[in-house]
Formats: sequence, structure tokens, C-alpha cells
Amino acid sequence: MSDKNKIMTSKKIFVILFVSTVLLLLPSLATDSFAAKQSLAVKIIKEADKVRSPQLDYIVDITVTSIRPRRKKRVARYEVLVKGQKKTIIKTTAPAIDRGTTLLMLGRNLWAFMPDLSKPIRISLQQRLIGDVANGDIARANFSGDYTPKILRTEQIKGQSYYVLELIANDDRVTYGKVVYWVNKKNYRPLKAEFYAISGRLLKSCSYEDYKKLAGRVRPTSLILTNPLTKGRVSIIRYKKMRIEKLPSKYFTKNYMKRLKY
Amino acid sequence: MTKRLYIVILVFAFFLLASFCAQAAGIEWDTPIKEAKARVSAQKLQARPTTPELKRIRFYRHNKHTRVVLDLSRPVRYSLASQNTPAALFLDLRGADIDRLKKRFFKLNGERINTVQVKQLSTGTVRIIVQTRFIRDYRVFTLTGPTRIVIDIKDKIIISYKKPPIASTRTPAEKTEAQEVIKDLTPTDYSDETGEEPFDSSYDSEETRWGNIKINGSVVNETAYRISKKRELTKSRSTLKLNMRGELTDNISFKLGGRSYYDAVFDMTDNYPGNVEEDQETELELRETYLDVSLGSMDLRLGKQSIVWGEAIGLFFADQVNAKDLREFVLPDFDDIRKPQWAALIEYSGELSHIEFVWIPVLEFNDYGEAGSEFPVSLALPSGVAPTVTAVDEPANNFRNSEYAARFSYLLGDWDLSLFHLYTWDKEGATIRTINSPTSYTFTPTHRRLNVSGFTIAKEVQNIIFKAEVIYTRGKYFSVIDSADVDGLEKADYIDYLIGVDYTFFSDIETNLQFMQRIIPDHDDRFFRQEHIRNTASIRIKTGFFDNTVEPELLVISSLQELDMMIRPKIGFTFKDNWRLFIGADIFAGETDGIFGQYKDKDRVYTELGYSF
Repeated sequence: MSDKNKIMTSKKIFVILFVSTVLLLLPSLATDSFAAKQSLAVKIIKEADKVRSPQLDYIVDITVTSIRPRRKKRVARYEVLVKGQKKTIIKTTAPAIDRGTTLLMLGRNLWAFMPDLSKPIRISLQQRLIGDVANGDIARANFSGDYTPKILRTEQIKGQSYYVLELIANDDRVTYGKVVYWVNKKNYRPLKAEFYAISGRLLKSCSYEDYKKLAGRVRPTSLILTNPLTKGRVSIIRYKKMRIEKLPSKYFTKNYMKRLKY
Repeated sequence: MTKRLYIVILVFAFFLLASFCAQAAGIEWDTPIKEAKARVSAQKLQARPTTPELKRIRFYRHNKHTRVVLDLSRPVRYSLASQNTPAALFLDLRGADIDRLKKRFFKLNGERINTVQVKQLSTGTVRIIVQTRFIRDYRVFTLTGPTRIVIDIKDKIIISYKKPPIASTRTPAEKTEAQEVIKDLTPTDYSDETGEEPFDSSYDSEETRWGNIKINGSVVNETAYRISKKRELTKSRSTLKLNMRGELTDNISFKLGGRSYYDAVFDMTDNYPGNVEEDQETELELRETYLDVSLGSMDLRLGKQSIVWGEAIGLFFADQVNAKDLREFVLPDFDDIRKPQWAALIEYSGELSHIEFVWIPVLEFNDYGEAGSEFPVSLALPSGVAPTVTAVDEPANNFRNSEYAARFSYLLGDWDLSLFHLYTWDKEGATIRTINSPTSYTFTPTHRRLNVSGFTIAKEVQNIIFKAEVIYTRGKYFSVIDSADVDGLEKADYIDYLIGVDYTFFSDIETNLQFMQRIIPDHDDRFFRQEHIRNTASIRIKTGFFDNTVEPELLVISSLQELDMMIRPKIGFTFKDNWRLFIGADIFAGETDGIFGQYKDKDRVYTELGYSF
């Protein structure tokens, strides 16, 4: 074999080895890249959750205003007690006709205590509180845990850079099947979200507004929920007087519901 | 009119007068008394032109409190707020001037107060920020001649940061956030500063608060008209319910409830005899009135109370602790049917488990409609016999006759499980029969001991709620129609069970289906209105329109063996937030010896108009 042929053979072997190595490494590189993206997506919604609410026990007063075209607006007030990520109590404080109605949410399990029944009864997540506001809209201020996130793209909106994430419900008992979520790249503040049914139908859009300091951190204090099917149909959830406070576990049991103070 | 009627009218008149006066004066009831006083003083101040000036701040340390004194040139309107993390008290002086106040920051580092800071806010408000060590009890009051506002930070610690109980249960990330919150928090962090809109003022008058005491209630008028056979007015009842709640300490609170009604049908018509008028025209009653004591995971409730168990909707089933007022059959709200009883309830609440013990020393029994009333109780009586009913033979109230109950509940995964036992009295009663002659019987209502054991289950699967209740009753005496029987009573145990399903269709239509069965293993054909096996089903459908301001509802309960049915359609309207109107009907069908059929001539339509405050 001439020297020239020897050089050609060595070259071929080198190319083959190089290509093989690349081909072998590609999947793992792709996997690593996917894992990194996934972990970034998880981090983004965790950080956004921290912006939306303290990841500690807290109490917050909520006003829900339902606005309908050509109708008088309706206002309801709730005191919401949150313990960890899975326990929530929603106490209806106004209007007076509904005062005393309490919802307890433990994970995906839900109980309602109605003053005229005087006992807690188990209900499903589908039952609504007021207007377009689902129980989950008030009871849950966390997406992490309930949804698996994926980064779709980044977008520039009004000079700010935003992650656009797709969140898929971990099971069918979560309030929405899918959420598309815009989160600020710099400070993880949520900008807006679109909520979809499992069927893919857009149920409502949410805008996170009025960023103000609440319980030690700048958070959105107004959530504007709009119904895409009805023009002018809006529900506004306002947060006020958020206070971090250690809450006893016994509050978050169905048999304690009758003892909650109003 | 009776004396009781005068009392009822007086209470109503007082309430109405108070409401009108309050509305006319524009009083905002929902405001704590301190703020209300501050507002009143502020209104007076508005007439005066000069600006109040904060001249000096002084401090005094006492054994039980540290005093901060604000020397002012003249009275000023102020408001108070506090926060927990970090512990601080905020006192806002509206429209005050601090131009001449030289020192605006005081670092005390005392055992009660860390710092005191004075800030001029852009709104013209001067904010005094008293940052305390731990969350402490405090009081604020004004003194005159010269004008001063005094803040006493007391020795009593409400919450301490020394040993944060959350530390052990939080993840490192949570700990970091807690620290960030404390570090990050500035005295500007309270709701006024956030610039949020105040809550809708239309709700300010919903609940009256006198300091720590809250009062609420409702006024309801129920009017019913019989539509079968003899058509006439059967009810025109106005009811006032009042509840007062308050806290005596952090761990002790109370509730005082009362109900009063007057049924005008007895004065407007002669539809009912005197004994029914005496029984049902007026009532002034102490309702739930108790003291709640909280001791860690233990809780105690002492007083007149309703203890409600079970999972069923629209039926009592496991809900057997309290006696019931069945003078209007089962038509009123269950909360009105239940008779609150004097009892002691001790509860232990764990993460997943719950244990409760009940002691009822004062006995109560069911009330039934008297002869001649709209819904009278039936007696086991052959036709052509004239009955005489003697006074009820009730057991005495003593320790030995007390009732006891216990329940254990556990949340196992998604399963709601409860086991219970009651050592009680037969609240329905059994009627001892004495045959005087073939056409004359004497009945003596009596009550015997019962042992009631049962369990309940509820679970959600794919948005469907499944529930079940099983109750085994021992010691029941049933009436028998047999003139050869000595006392007209036979003892037999029985089992009741219920299986129910709740589902919401299209997120709007709530449905509840229940199947019930009563089995009397030692059944005797002579039993009055009791079959060996009785199957019953119920269906309840409810929906809402226009943001649930219009809510139609239908409840049907029916025997599955024969025509014996109750149909209850109704529609509820909510308007002006605090008003609710129900229009409905109660229809009974079946044979006269049926549970519902016995009232087949009592079909009625009704309205119920209520105002909650």
C-alpha cells in the first residue's frame, strides 16, 4: 500500500470515527439539552409561584368582582387561608347572604360547609364559586406541582423579554387541562395566562396586574379574568392584606370547618 | 294577642328602628370601634382650619408596658394597622405636620420596642412606625389638655419569633424565603401603602361590630297557601334570627343565637284550632349558644348546640344527635328543624383523624304537629276508634339519663371515613296504647333507650362524589295495629343504609341521586307503616342562571315499592346582594297510610322572602 493510500485510509478511519462519535453523542447531547430546558421551565414556574404568593402559611383577603354587560356588577369577598401548597380554606365573608359558606381544599379533595346544612359535604372541583371564577382560581396560586411545564418560546412585549411556557395538567382533576403562561425573564413576574380545557378549548384569559408590595414582596394584586366567548364579561380577583402567619393544621380538617370564626 | 306576641313585635320594632336609624345616619357598621371613633373625631376636625402638628415624641418604660407619647398641637384624625412580619404597629396621622419635628428616628432596642420612625407620606399623612420585638398586645388612646396620642406596647407577646414553630417543618427554600420576607419587609408594607382600592363600601353595613363582638342575622317572611282540596292560607310567618359572636381571649370565643317568630295566619284566619295556635303562633327561643375553647389540637364546645353528622343531602339518616322540630314535617330548612341541645362536645383534630365525644345532660325530644295542625302526627288507630292522647312520659334530666355519643373520622387517601355510636333515647318516641273500649283507645307517648351505631363513607372519583351511610338501631319499639297486643308496641332492631352519587353536569347542573333501604329483620306484619324492606330513592337537581342569582331546584323523594312521594320544586332569586326570594311548591302523593301520602291533601305553594345582615 502506497503512502498516499495509507493517508487516505487513515483519513477515512478518522472521519468514520468522528462521525460515529458525533452520532453517538448527539442523542445524549439532545437529552441533556432537553433536561436542561425542562429544569429551567420548572424553575421558572417555581419562581413565578413565589412572586404570586408566599410559599409559607398565609392569609389573604380576596375580592372577586364579576362584571357582565348590561348588568350590575357583583362583588364577593373571601378570606383565604393557605397552608403549604395543598391546603386551602376559603371563607365567604360577603355578601351577607352567603357569609359562613366555607370551602376546604386538601390536595384535589374539596368540602363545602354551608350554614343552612351545618355540616361539611364533599363536593367536586367543578362547582363554581362566583361568575367565571373557579374554586381553583382562588384556592390555588401555585402552578408547580399541578402542571408539567415546557418552554415554548420567548417573546418581546413592550420592551420586556418573556418566557412563554406551556403547562400541562398532571391529572384531570386540576382546574385547567392546559395553561399557556407568560413570565418575565428578568424578574419572573407573570404577565398573563391562557387557560384551556382538556379538549383544547380556550376557557379564559388572565392578566396579572397591579404589582404592589404584599407580604414582603412585589406581587400581582389584581387578576383580570376574561371570557373569550362573551365580550365584556370580566371577573377581577383582587388580593389585599396578605399576611404570613403560622396556621394550625387542625384548621385544615373538614370537621373543624364548623368552628372557623367569621 | 298573647304576651309572647308582644315580645316578638317589640323585638322586631326595635330591630327595624335601629336599622332605619343606622341607614339614615349613614353609619358604617363594619368598621372597628376605634376607627369609627377616629372618623367621628375627624368629622368634627374638618370644620377647623389649622393643621395639627406633631411636636414631640416621648418614651416611658413601665413594668408591663412601654409608652410612646405623641405630643400634638391639636386633635388629629388617625388610623391604626399592624403587621406580623416583622412585628410593627402603624399609626397614621391624617393631614398632620412634622416640619418642626427634629428627630424622626429613635433606636430604642428595648425589650419591647426596637425602633420608632416618623415618615411623611406623599398623601399628607404622617406615619409613625413602631417596630416591636415579637408581636405584642397594644393599646392606643388619646388624651386632651394638651393633646396627646398614647401608644402602650404591652408585655404580652401574642406571637414570638424566638422559637419559630415553622422552622422544623419548612424546607431550606422556604426558610430562605421567610428570611427574605423579614429582611425585605419595609414599614411601607401594609395595605394602605399598596394603593389598593378599598373594598366595595356597599358591604360596610353588613355586619355590626361592637369592638370584638359581631352581630348578624336575618329577617324572613314565609307565606304558604294550600292548593289541594280546601284552598286556604296555611302560613304567614315572620322570623327574626340574631347571632352574636365574639372572642373572650385568643382561645375562647362564644356564640349567642336567638330566634323569634310570629305566624299571622292564626290572627288572620280561623283555619286552625286553639291548641295549634297556642303551639305554633309565636316563639322566642334561644338557639345555638355556646362557648368554644381551643386547647392545641383539642377543642371544647359547651352549651346549646347542633351536632351534625353524616354525608346525606336532604335526609337526616346519620344526623341523629339532636332532637328535631317536625311540626311542619321535614319541609323547613334542616337547620331550623334541628333543636339545639345543651351538650358538651370534646374534639381532637389530627392531621388525618378526628375524634369527638358528646355528652348531652339535658334531654330533648322531637316535636310533632298537634291534632288539627297542617302536618299532624299519625297514630296507629283502627277506623272508628276515638283516641285520647295523654301527656308524654319523658325521662328526667339526670346524669344517669344522659345521652352519650362518640365518632371517629379518618381521611384515608381520598376516602372520608367515619364510625360512630350513640347511646341515646328514642327521640321519635313510642306510643303505649291502652284499650278502654272497642271504640276508645288511650295513647301515652313514651321514650326508650336506643343504641345507634353506624359508619359513613365519601369519596370523589372522576368528579363524581360517592357517599354511603349505614346505621344499625337497637332497642326501637314500633307501634302495631293489633287489639290483642298488650300495649300496642313491639321491639325490633333495624338497619338503614344509603348510597348516593353527586355529579355536576356541564359545570352548572348539580345533581344528587340517593338510594335508601330500611330492613327490619324481625318485621311483623302488624307494624304500623313499616315494611319488612322499604326502598326509597331521592333525586335533587339544582342549577343557576345569571351568575347564580336565579337558582331553580327540584327535590323528589319517593318510595320504590308503591306510590308514596314528595315533590319539591323551587326557584330562588338573589337580588340587591342581601335579599333572597324563594317561590316553590310542596306536593305529596300516595296512599293515606304512606309517609308522604298521609299529607296528600296538604299540597302547597309558598314564598319565602329574606333579608340577611
